[in-house]
Amino acid sequence: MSKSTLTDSLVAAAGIIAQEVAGDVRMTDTRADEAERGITIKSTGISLYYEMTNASLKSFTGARDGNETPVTMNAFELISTSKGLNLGSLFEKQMGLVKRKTQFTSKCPANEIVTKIEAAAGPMGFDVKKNNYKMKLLGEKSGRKGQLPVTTEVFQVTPSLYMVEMKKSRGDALEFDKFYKNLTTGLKDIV
Amino acid sequence: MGCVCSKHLGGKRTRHENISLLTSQTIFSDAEVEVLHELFTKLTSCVSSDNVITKEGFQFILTKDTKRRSLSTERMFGLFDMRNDEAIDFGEFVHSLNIFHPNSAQRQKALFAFRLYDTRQTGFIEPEEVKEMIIDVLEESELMLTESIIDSIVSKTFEEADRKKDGKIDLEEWENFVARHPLTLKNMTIPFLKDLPRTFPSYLQ
Repeated sequence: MSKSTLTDSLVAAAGIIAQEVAGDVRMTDTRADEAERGITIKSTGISLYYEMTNASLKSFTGARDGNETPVTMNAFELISTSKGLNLGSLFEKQMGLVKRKTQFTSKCPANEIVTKIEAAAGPMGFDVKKNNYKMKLLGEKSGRKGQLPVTTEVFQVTPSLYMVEMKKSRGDALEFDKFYKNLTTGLKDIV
Repeated sequence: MGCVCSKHLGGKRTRHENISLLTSQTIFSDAEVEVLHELFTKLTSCVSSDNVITKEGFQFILTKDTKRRSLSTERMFGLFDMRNDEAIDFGEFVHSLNIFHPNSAQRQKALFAFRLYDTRQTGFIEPEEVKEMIIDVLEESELMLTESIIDSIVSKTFEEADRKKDGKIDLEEWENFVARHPLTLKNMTIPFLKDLPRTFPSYLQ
């Protein structure tokens, strides 16, 4: 197989040209004299987009776009997680909105924490969506109050200490408590 | 800033007059003050027979814990209790919540938070005060951290905030710090306050 044909095949794999015409069409030979003489004279740049499957994405160990480190949490942000300093709870209770927020600390590196939460939540029937150090876990089974959406975020308190916050805004509170208990049992080595 | 309304919504002024007064002094509308009054009545009815919230009552309302002395609820109570008479009446309740309104000035929120964290009320936020509050929140959530980790959390924050390097944070440094780190004041805004009548329609009759 020639180099131009190989290029065509790659372009076909990316879905830009049909597989049947790969080799004949010589897509990157864009100049008239190239097409006429059947040879490549100048190099042509082309971008091919490929969507990684979930499986390959999970095992990808290279750098990812976006923030490389979790958001830092200063002393006052840590203090303000206290119940006494969160008056919003007064209103939530009156509205019958039972929010739940729990947190734990870990000395494990942040990306390890994320991986471990994912590994624990998956088998529990949760769909996991990641965005840097924030995760959205969605309970698949329909619980007592519908699906249970849990958001979790990892914060850096010091370079060797991280805080993991988990909260739910809707869904059943008892289910969340059960979920949290099961999760932390599975995460014993990082808590 | 004093509170000019009487301790009970009854008394010499009519209820209507009191509500108008609070409306004129705060961001809240008449309807919103009405809703807050309903909420206040509900809160006081479960903790006392008076029309005020006591320190124990306040702690119970926020944490459901009556055994452990919570420094954070003490501080919050202290700021709400503007007249320093160990009780929060409706006027103080509304005036304080006013600061938590989404449309309230950042400056007001920053000042309130500064006073919250200045536990010994020296006019400065000192490392010992911050350390004390961290220990308090850790106890509440049953998290364990070593003293050296707590010390490093405190010193890291002071490095950021204490620009004059005098070992404490004054109001100016604080305002500067929270401008650079806005999430520090996240708990100073309660979005629900913006649309109370719609959130609690049953409270208005």
